[in-house]
Amino acid sequence: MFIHAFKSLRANPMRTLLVFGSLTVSVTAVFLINAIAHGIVSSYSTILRSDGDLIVTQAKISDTFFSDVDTALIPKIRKIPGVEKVTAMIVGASPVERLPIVAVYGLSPERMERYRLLRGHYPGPGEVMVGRSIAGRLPMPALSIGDRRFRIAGVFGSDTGFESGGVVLTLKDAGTLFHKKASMLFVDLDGRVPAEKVIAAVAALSPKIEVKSTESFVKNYHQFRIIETSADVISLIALLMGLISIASIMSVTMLERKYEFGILRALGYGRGVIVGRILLETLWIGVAAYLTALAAALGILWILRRLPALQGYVDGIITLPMAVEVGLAALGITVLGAILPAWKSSGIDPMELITRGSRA
Amino acid sequence: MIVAVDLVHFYGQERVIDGISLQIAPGEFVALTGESGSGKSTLLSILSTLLHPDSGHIFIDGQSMETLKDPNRFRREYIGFVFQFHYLIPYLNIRENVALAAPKRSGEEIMELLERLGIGAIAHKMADEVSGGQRQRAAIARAVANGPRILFADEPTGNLDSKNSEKVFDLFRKIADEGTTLVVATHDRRLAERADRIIEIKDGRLV
Repeated sequence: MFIHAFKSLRANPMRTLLVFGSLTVSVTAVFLINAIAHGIVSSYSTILRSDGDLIVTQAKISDTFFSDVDTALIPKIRKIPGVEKVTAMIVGASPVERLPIVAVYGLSPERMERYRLLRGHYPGPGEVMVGRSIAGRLPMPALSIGDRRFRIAGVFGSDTGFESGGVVLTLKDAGTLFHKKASMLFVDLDGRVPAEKVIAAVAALSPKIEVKSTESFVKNYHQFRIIETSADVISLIALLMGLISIASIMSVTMLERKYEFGILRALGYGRGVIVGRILLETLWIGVAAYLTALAAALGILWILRRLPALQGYVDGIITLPMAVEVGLAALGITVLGAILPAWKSSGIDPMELITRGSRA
Repeated sequence: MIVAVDLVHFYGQERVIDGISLQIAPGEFVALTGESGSGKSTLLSILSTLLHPDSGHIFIDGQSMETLKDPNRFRREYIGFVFQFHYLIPYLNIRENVALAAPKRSGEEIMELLERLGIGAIAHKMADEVSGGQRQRAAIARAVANGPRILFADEPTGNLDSKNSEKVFDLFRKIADEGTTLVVATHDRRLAERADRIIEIKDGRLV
């Protein structure tokens, strides 16, 4: 049966190619959409998770970009029992020289050390450290961010695309650029006091702030959910388009092959066996298309990661669970696209199949 | 024994089988004859369970075809069918086409059958690589590969020259002599006369 399926595919190269092409394109699209969305979420959540057990933001804001937290709270938070360390960060975006948009991170001194210095030194006042992905596209030894000039102190590396395509400066300089004290405060706990108690104590310091555990913040961050839901919806559309393409190609194919099904029915093969044969054929294509799509998506992501114009921000990641999920979805649409036309076509009297098939 | 009672079948509004009843004894070689469009191919399809009649009853060896639990299995074990146009599966070679009808038979058994029908040498060729006569013999090999009790053939010589037609009928005679019930639809009166009995059909009725 396996060999027959393979021979049938080889005997109809155009049909095989069309089904393979439709499936490969939609699965590659699904991979790319999900990988890029996952990359965005993963990059930003890695930054948020990198330090601190709790995150303090301005209350009632939709995005951390708009958050403004008073750094005067830092010494007060440090005094709360169970708190080990408090650091601050400003997250912003600004044109930098010829680059239209660059992520700008303003950091308190303790946070600087998380960045891997490749050359130079960590930035002091009036200085900036630039990410590896954009270093080659910026003038040395100074650059403009917005309307201000900064001396380039060094170049850093990071595994996070959002960071390696950005610039880092002191919290104070970033505060001057973005007219705020801090976007977020990160609180490290010493583990001696339950996190809930510390959260309550920090929240009690000001009605203008919101305090969450880092995990809870990342999990419930509205922007992440918008990105993930959008990716799911676009993936579904891509899969549906693939399904419709496969089903229409298979419908035409089934029409051409009616007489073959009629012969098989005349020889005593049941409807289930015929549908099984067609499924086996399409599963061959499904597996080949899935592997091709996976390879194509990995290749495209590799290229996107290195495109200077994208500054390393498009850092798509294909995880194992994602590969399994997309694989199951691909096989699902292959089966669905084939099973409906095959079931419909093989259900009538053998002689009618033969005569209708030979007229087709 | 095939027993058909008051068979009726329509194609659209046209009554192509009009109340036919007949009996065919086990091991009998019967030729169904009639003009083109007389209904002989439709009758053959109905008798061979490949087409459901609109009304009427068929019993094969006492079993009603309407109450069969597994018609596919019945077809697989009881019936062989030779079509006018060989209808070999184009992407399989001759041996694979024949083996398709008898999946339980070994490769050697299939080759033996092909040798017996004089087409052993073309076993590995595709259907479009062999002559019309060889194709039809391959179709006959496929129809008898499962050792059916009843063999139906619809105009099996319709696309063959007289020499090949004779050969096919010689083969049918031999199959019938070995005890298989044979029902052949043909418009060739000369060949039909080689059967044990001729049933003539006109306008969907027995003459």
